[in-house]
Amino acid sequence: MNDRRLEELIFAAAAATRYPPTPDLAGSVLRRLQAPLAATPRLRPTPRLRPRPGLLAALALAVLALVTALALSPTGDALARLFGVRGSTIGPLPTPAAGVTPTPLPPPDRLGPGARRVPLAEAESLAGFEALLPAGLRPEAVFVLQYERFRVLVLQFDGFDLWEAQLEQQASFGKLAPAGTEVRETQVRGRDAYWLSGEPHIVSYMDGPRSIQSSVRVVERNTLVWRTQAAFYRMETDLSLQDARRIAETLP
Amino acid sequence: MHLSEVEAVARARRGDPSAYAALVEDNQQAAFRAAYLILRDAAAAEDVAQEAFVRAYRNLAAFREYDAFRPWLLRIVTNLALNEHRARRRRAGLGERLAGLLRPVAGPPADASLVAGEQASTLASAIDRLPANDRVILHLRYFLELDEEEMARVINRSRGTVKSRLHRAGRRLRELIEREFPDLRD
Repeated sequence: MNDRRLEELIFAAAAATRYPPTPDLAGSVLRRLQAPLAATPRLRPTPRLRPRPGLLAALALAVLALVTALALSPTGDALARLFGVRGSTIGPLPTPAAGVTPTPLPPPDRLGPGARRVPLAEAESLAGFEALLPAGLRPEAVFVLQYERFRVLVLQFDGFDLWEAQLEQQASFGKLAPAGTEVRETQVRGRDAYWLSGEPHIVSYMDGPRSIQSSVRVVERNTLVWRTQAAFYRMETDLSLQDARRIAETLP
Repeated sequence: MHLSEVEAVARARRGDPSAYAALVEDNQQAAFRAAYLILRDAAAAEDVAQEAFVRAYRNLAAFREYDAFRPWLLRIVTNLALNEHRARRRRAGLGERLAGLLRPVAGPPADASLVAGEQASTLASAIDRLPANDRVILHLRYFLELDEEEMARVINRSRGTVKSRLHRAGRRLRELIEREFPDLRD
């Protein structure tokens, strides 16, 4: 086959290709651009924070102080209104001033300290609510975490951890996203949801304005956050958003 | 509103959302199709195209004002789509297992979007089996009909590199045809 014949065939294949209808992207793009994380074009890339091995306790305390400070500040309140579903606030991790080396994040932590592995029935009894399972799936392991008076279930499946809680009015999970973390709006069962991907982010449990120290941890995996009338959910996973949503849609 | 591309970029850089919306409307088909050719999944291609427009906006300050916007955008689209494609391959085993549990009905075959002649369909299947970089270069040239200058901007290489990559992709495609699709030879 000569070059000309090959080109003819490729052009024919191109001409015969049928594409799905092009979606109208202008509206969705503008909505995302109007969110605070993308309010203005950046003049230069923001320095990225990368996790490094060898955590120093002082660094964890610094992170904790930052979480608490943000939660208490008016800025934190504003972010809480603009990002996140009820029970979850998402805000940007402040970027260091020019010339300042960013504090390394602690290494990722899948569960945090104090997680206790128990049988499913016992976990439900301890948490005081029934674990809700994705259709057709059974957890490989179940953990209970206690933050002050509050308990959270973590159901571990092959490929994702599902965090479930029934939060009181004042309680929430706070998330701090470095510049390299993408925060994407999405939906689960018609309800607002958020998809965090890219670089690791920080999660802490907030009892009102107070961050519970034992709950602060760095999450490396992608995270889908949503809530329904039944529960508050967080899925931490290596799956794609599409696969994560497919599973999430099966929860009540 | 009708703006020249240069004017739209300039206004968008000053923070005018309607100007950027015009840029999105003018380029969304190319962005979506470029992503779709790599991913073969309309929803994922939409996500990638949307993400590319957002990233392009965030980095408008780094864009050279009098360059063409579309090749620069397509570079972002292509990189994002290739990243997503690689991530999907890594996740394929697990994702398919979970998807199978939740939705046992199989999706459409990879070449379902091709309906024209049998040869065209077969050739498209052959292209889909090439390495990602070869596929991208062929898609840019023949499916999105970019010229060499535009392609050079998309892949951020010289025109000479574009030529050599096109040549290499064509050679690999021809070898694949000789080996596995002999009906296409004549």
